[in-house]
Formats: sequence, C-alpha cells, structure tokens
Amino acid sequence: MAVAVGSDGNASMGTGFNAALNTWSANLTRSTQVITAFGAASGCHNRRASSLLDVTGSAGGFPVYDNGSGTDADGSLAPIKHTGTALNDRGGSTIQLFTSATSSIQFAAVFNSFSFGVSQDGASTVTFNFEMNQSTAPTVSWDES
Amino acid sequence: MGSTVAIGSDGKVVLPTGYVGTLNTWSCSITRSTTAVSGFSQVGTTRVASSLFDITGSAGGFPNYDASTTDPLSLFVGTSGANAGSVSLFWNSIASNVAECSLEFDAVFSSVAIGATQDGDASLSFNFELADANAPVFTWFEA
Repeated sequence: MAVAVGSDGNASMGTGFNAALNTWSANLTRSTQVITAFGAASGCHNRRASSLLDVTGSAGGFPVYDNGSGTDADGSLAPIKHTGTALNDRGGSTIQLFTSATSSIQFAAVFNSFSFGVSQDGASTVTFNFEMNQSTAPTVSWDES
Repeated sequence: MGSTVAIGSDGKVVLPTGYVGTLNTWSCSITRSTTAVSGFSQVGTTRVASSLFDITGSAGGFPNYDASTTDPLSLFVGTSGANAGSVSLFWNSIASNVAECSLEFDAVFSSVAIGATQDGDASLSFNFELADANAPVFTWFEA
C-alpha cells in the first residue's frame, strides 16, 4: 500500500482546455434531508441522503502557448476551447482527476468560470472551475491491487 | 509540437485612453451561469451552461504624473466615463503578431481604487466589467 502525495497527481480538463496544471480539488456531494418527526425518541436527527450525486471543483496552473516551433494544432494549447477567435466552451468537456497514475475520477462537466491572473513580477495563472454534467455516476478507477 | 509556459512578465494590459498608469498586473474571470437540470431517476447531476457569459476583472499598478495625459481619473470622473471602452488583456504581449495571446472586449469601469501609504507605494487599480454586444476576441498562439 502506498500513500498518495500531491506530486503523484494529475488532471485533464478535456479536449480544447489546456494548461500546465499543478493543483486540483473536487467536492463530491449529496444533498441530505432531515426526516426527524415529532416524537422522535432518540433525541437526535435522522437523515436521508439524496441518490443524486454532484461534483464541483477546480484545477489550477499556468497557461501555455506555442514555443515558436509552429507545429501545434488549433485547440491544442489554448486554455479555453475556441473556434478561431470565438470562445465555444459552453458544452464543457470530460474531466479526469488523478490522485496517482492509476487512481482517478472521471466525469463530464461544464465550466462556470475561468480565472486568469498576470503579474509582471510573478506568474501567469489560470484556474478552471467546473461542475458535473452527467446523468450517470462518475467513473472511479482506483488502484487497489 | 512544442509549448512554453506563460509567465507574468510576458503580459500586458491596454485600457481605454483616460485610464492611465504604470500597470504591472491584471486578472479576470470569465464566467457562465449554469443551471442544474437533473430529472428523476438520474444519479448524477446534469447541467446546462448559459450561452451568455461575463467577464469581470481588474488591472493595477502605479499612478503617473508630471506629464500630459497621466491623469488616471480623467475619464472615470467625467461625463463620458459611463461609456464602454476597449480592454485588451495579454498573456503574451506581441500585439497583432502571430505569437499574440490575448483577450479583447469592450468594458465599463465600475471602480477605480487609488491609494498612497507613507511607508509604501502609491497604488492604482481599475476594475472593469464586460459591456459588449459582440463576443470577445480570443487570440491564442498555438501554431
């Protein structure tokens, strides 16, 4: 058994969404409903969790662009999916988040925001913020062998 | 295929005439509202992203003076300050060059933050919001 450390991780934002990523985070949530009724003898809350699962999260790193070799395809480096100079990110993509090379969670998602920052004395950064868009459960692959 | 990571010193920002300063940082968020549209029997959450997206952000640096056209507030405090102007944000600041990486759009300015601290800097920050009936122009050097 090995403990996962951050440097073993990875993330793919899907086709057309590119960056040199170095961090990601995700929350897998189910809404819960209190079903405690009057007269509950236990003196504590009883709850049901929804069967509907949600995933929200973000991934961050640095934008990349061509190094001048001039051999990259359109859409292979830009942080946001586009056609020509028009953004067409609305459809989202398939996201895969890795805790190690052999353990990951994969799901379709839409992006609710892209955040960029550029400072003359520092880095140029990008953050992808995503929300699950999949009627079925995410695909979890976990190395347990 | 080859790529290079963008670094901050390659950046640049161009604001409308009248929003002036020695700028050294910018940030922006490009957002779309999303709506969850999951129905009964689904076990995962499905969503639709709006076709309408928004951009908000800021550009900051230092005020200039002692030369013409250095007033950072000349447009914002005037009657024409309510009008939209063109904002260009560069990751790789080679304007109109094939290697340019930029986002260009019209924006209004919601605030100008200016300050001076005796033991520090005089700072300036322009905060802008998308105001463009047309889509922004996204240019990225990929090939």
